Amino acid sequence: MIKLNNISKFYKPDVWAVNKVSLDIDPGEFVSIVGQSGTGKSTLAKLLFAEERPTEGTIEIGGWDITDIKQHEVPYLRRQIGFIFQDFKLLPKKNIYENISFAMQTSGMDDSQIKKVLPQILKIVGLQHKAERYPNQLSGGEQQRAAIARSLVHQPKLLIADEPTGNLDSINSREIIDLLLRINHLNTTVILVTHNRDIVNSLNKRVVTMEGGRIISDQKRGRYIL
Amino acid sequence: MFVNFRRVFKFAAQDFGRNIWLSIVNITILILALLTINFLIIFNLLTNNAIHVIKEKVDVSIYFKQTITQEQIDDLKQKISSSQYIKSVDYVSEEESLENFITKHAQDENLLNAIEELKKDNSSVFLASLKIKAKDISMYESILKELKESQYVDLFEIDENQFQDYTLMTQRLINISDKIRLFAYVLSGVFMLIAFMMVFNTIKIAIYTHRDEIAIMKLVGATENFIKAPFILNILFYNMIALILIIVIVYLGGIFLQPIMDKLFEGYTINLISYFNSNFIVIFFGQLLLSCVFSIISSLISIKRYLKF
Ligand SMILES: Nc1ncnc2c1ncn2[C@@H]1O[C@H](COP(=O)(O)OP(=O)(O)OP(=O)(O)O)[C@@H](O)[C@H]1O
Ligand SMILES: [Mg+2]
Repeated sequence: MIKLNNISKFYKPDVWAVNKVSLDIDPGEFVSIVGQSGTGKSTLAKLLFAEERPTEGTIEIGGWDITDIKQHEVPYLRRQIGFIFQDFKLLPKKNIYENISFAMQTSGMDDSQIKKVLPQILKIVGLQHKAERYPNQLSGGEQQRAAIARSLVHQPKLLIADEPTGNLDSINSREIIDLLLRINHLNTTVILVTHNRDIVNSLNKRVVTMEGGRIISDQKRGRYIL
Repeated sequence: MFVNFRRVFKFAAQDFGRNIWLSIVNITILILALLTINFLIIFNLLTNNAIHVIKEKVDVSIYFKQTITQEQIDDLKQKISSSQYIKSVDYVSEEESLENFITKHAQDENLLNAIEELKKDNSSVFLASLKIKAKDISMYESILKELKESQYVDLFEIDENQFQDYTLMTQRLINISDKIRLFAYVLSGVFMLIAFMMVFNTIKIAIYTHRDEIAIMKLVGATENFIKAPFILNILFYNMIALILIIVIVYLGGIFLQPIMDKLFEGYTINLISYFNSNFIVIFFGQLLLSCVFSIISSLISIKRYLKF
């Protein structure tokens, strides 16, 4: 699914945010990436959806070498990947239904497809009864679920979650992680960047630990070791 | 493809409504820019016509002295007619001259009475004359020169006052209209520049107010053109509306100006409305093309600058 080969990312003036990272992720895996602040986790995620280009090394996703991906090809890469972030990134002036349909519209899906797929996705995240609500009328967990719903509209093979529980309490966090697990069960590869020790330990899945832009540990059934 | 176009159109229309004041200001500036262009078009039309009218009216007359014989007159007329510069030569008899004079001064009773007195003495008030029109106004100098070198030069007098007056008038008209035209060019340049900057800033503002939407569009895989297109389309809406309004303004202006024109040019008037009708495509689509090209260039520069991919 994902092949990182000796990837480095240099930021001016003097930061190697990611430093000679090699990583293979198989289809259907659930991988947690942990590490202290500023160790390059988000940078790694950005390299995966071509928000940043690597300074060195090569990146392959689903057999597609995106190392030097052209700007006009980026949208088509992103239609195959879902993303969620700590800050949900919902549009406050659109309700949940509109937020998701906006994403579907702007990425070129036609109306009949939207009408068909959107309710199904809302159901997966359990928001079918709150579609008319605006983001500020929802709890943090619900907002994140809406964001997850949006990330699922293209039925992505890969979901990248950069600290999705960073703004949530433990109960809401748990719900989000359970949702990610369910999505993983539906055969979507999930990459979860997190600081949350309890969650990582409870998952009992692969854990990649980073420090100073490098991978210092990669365990099949890992624990939070920092 | 069609779905995308419809959506771009919808997004652009929403934006137009949401920033209605910005839209109005933009359209106003565009209208001012187009207005100066249309002013130039009408102004050129008027000055060209005025100059044409003057040229039509110019002539040179030669008045025969009493001593000239009819043969000499015929011979002279013959010679003048054969000159390459001449468009027409008309013989005006004493009686005709008198009649012309009387009709011209029909209101002036004192003058007419004085002429009646003179007529009683049986001395002729007016002389027979030849009215000479050149093919082109620039040829009068040559014609005058030829006349002055004629063998009959002692038998007539040349009246070139009218020619001199008109030459002076034309020269003045050209001078003034050149100044006005220059001013209008500068003004329309200034308005174009303002319109250019307005569009640039409007796009900048639109990009700023839509930054969250844009970020999400990029994230979910909207193409670059899909993101850019509504901004440009919105600007094209402005141009379209400005053009429609300018057409209305120009035609209303034409209706208003027509009577003034008719009075000014008498028999030589031009019909403004039919002028605009018969040149509609060139004039208005030309303007639309010009303003759209300007706007799109400005939009693209602004987008390139403020919308980072
Ligand atoms: N655009 C940038 N320009 C310069 N330096 C950057 C940029 N983005 C990140 N960095 C630097 O790269 C390093 C890695 O940043 P990154 O965001 O990947 O860390 P992180 O592991 O996600 O941290 P956190 O857990 O706090 O989110 C940091 O030192 C950061 O300051
Ligand atoms: Mg981070």
